[in-house]
Amino acid sequence: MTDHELTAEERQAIESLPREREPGRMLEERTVKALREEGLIGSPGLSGGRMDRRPATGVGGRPWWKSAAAIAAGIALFAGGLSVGQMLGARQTAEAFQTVFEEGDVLLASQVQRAGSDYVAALAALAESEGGAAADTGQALEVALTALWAAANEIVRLAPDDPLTARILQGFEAQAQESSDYRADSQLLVEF
Amino acid sequence: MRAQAVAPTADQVLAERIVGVGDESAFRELYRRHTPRLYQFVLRVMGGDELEAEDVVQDTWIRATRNLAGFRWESRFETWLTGIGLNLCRNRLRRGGRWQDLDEDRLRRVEAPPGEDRIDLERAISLLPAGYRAVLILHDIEGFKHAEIAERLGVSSGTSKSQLWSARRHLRRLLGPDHSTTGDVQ
Repeated sequence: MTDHELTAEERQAIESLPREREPGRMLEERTVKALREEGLIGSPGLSGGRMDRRPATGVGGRPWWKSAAAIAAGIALFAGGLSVGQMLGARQTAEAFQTVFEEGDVLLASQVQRAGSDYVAALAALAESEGGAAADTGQALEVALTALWAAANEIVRLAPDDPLTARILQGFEAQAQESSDYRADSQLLVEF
Repeated sequence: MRAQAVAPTADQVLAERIVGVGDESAFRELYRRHTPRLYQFVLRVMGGDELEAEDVVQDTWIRATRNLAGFRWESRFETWLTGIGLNLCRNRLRRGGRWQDLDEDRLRRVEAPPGEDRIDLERAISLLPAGYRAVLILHDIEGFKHAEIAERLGVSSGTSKSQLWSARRHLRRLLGPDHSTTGDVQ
């Protein structure tokens, strides 16, 4: 063997490098939007049967996009309720309601508003309680964040270029990346 | 012996739906099947810049979708996609003055940034000059042959080999105790 060739240890180190990595969630939406603008793909509703990983129907058998709009409206309301910011609440609530109203499904929007309010009220009650176990609180926080992440993902589908939603998702992705980097660091430090 | 009909691959079925009716859900499925691998490849070739890598991946899909009707399915879809991604990486690196013709790379100095006492393999690869890095990624990580690399990069097989050897030598030095090397190749 010459020094041109890899040693067994070097080969093993190279083979242990990851072959796959998930980009940010926004990238898929950006790409789809660009392809739509070029006329290379149509909207989901015009393209026949869906093979998407998401279900073809949403809550109560409604089309997925109506559910998405409803979730978007809900998250906007609850974000407003949590006082994340006046601008956030006012702008996104208006945009989300506009989408829902255009589809003429006011009832659905009001249902989501109630669900969102209940969600916020439950979190507020949890925050004020002092007797809960730390593990229970942690679990509730995880559930709340997962819901927030899921809702932000749906808003991205409605408005791929919305910078506020992008920042929310980037925050989640950065956190997830930090966790995976931490795990990877301990595996990838190899003597070559 | 009768010729057997070759069943279309799942990729081909999805591609036909995209080309035929512009099926967005088929595109999303195809995107999700191949993007994690494409993104990792492009990210490495671009030296670890995530924003640039995402831009390249997006451009790769746009270009691939534009040309999907002309793809003959004589090679794997993944290989074709990787080729488009590589070209776009190279164009972008060239525009930024970061991709010299491979022969010019010989005199490039490769150094680990000051203060980095210990670097891992991924980081060391990102520090290689772009030309070396691409050859090493294509050969050692992605498993391409020298003839295939030569065709994709527009160089001879001999150049591909010598660049690979140089890349490995630089990598060993970067990961060694003194963390720096001059890039002159004997």
